Amino acid sequence: MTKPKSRSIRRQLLAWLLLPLSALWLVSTAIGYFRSVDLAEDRYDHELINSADSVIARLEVVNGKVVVDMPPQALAMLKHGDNKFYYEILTNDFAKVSGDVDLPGPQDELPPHVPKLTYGVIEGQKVRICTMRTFVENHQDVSVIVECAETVGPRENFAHQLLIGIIVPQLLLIALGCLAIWQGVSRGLRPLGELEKELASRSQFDLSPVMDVNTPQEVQPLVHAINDLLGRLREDIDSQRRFVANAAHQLRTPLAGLKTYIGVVSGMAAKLNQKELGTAVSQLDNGLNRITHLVTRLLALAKAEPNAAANIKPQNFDINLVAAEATSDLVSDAIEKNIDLAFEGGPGPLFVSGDPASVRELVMNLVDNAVRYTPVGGHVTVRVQNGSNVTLAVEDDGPGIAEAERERVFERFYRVLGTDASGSGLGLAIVREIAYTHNAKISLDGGAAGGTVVKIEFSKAPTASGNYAEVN
Amino acid sequence: MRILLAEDDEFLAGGITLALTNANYTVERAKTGTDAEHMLRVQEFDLLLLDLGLPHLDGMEVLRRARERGNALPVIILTARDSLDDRVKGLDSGANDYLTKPFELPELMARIRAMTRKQMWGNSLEYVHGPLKFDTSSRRVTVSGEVVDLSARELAVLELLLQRAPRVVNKDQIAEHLPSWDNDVTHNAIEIVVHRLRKKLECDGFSIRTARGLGYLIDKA
Repeated sequence: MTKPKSRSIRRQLLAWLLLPLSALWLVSTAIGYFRSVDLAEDRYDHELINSADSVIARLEVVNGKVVVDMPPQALAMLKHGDNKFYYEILTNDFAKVSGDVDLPGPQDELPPHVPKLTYGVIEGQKVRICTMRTFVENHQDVSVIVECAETVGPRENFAHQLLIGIIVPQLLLIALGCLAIWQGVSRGLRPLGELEKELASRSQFDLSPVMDVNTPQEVQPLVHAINDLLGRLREDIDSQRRFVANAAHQLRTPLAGLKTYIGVVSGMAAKLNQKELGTAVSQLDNGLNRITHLVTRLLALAKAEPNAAANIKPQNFDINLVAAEATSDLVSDAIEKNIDLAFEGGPGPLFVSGDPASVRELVMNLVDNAVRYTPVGGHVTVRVQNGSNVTLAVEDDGPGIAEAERERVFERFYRVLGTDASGSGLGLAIVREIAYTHNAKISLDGGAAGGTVVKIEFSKAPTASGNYAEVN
Repeated sequence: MRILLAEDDEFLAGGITLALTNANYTVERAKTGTDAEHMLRVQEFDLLLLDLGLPHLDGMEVLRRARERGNALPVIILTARDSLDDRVKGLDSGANDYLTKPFELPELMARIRAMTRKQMWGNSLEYVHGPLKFDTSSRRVTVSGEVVDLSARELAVLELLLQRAPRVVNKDQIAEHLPSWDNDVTHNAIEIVVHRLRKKLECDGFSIRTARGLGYLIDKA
């Protein structure tokens, strides 16, 4: 597939203007032509008739014969411009009286004093002929036919002049219009050019919004769309940066601790007393446990990811049972910290569709988190509630999570500032992945007692018809 | 030598503290950025080991504020952030050195020694005061060629007096520089330490003098 040629606004505007204007111009030229020819004909015919009248005025009857007194000077006066002038006088019965040429006689009966105008050809040139029947002055009984002719060159010239006078300014007007569009488009698109310059001159790290104070109304939506995209990109990059920083911190700090203790044990063993050496070794063990925990969590997270989870065949299971089991597993941890861990199950079995092992992992992560971050002597409650959906809620009365951080705690390796507990920062990320693969809605709010409530809403499994909810 | 360790991770902080106290440094620990800032405001330290990812207040901000107040103490950043950008930013905002986690303990110790050598002894490897010689790297003391074995407290007091010589150092200043397990060091205890130091070191050409009611000083060599 070839790349479609990009369209030019300027060319399109020009086309939209030029096509109708050219059509209009053609029509106007045609009308102008006929109108000019008419006008020229009117004017020159009028003069031709006048010339005929002048010839008539020179008719006399001498000795009963019609004669015309036409000296060359008089003849010259009858010529207009550089046309050729001919005349012929015929008697009523078409006998030539006088004249310098043979003109075609009238074809039919002519009423007196009414000029008849026709076209003809003399000496190969097109002429206009005026034929008129009249009476010689003072001899009302002598009727003659006077024919005058002149070449049409001048009148055609006149018509052409008129036509040019009409169409040339119109052509100029169209040309000026094109020029104005060309310029206007350049001028109108200048803000786009400035926008382009601003974007092109930016470094790839500058994702600040584009200023829209000087942009015209029509370009504002574009600027807003660009700013919107930049904003989303900024958020994305920020979250990526946070992830890298948090991951580095979470992974490298325990390693640094291990190395430090190894350094102490190997380099300073001679100076350490037995008790200090014992402490260092048990600290090394602690550090390894912590890294083991981290690796386990990372693997759990990898398993919870949609690609891996897609291979698990969903089944219907009682979430009441799974949640109760998962909670029981953490009771000893809670007791150790003197935390009151309670389970409030729903009425009877509540079936949801999915992977029970994953949901168990989800519950354990939530409870583990709650126990970990709730101070000694606190309360943690796990609830399963029936409604239009099945809701699993884990509530604690710990320090709570500031609103601004509630979205971020689901990010990998994110840890709430100021918490001393040594979490991996992956617990809630795992919870989110598992909830996501189960199409469950997840929400985090402040609890009634000031702590935190995490709610996971599962849709109910379809009844025993065998149709499992689809797991994506 | 008093070092402030600003590190939120208990495990790592424990290891570093153990290593530093074993090398006869006095270590104070700040768990959060705000704690570190507060301690830097009210106490005097010879070195700051600063983690950047501190709770409440980022390490970089702690450093910036300290420098803004005109605090010139040497600072080594210890952080997991290892990008070039981070390292440059860290050094540019006033740190003197930058170590990426996980680091080797001997390297950290050597950097601390290098830093304090520069800060306290003008980069010289050996500080000589009459018959007394002080090795600024190993912090070993010899008098007329004989090695003198000193306890952590004795070493701390001697270092302070040598650095400030020939000015008077009062007992409160000395108390501040003593290792952390002696937090409620009494003036009496200081007198005992000075007494022992005199016993071990005093010879022809070196003495610790008492400025009555003011403190102690080491005379010009």
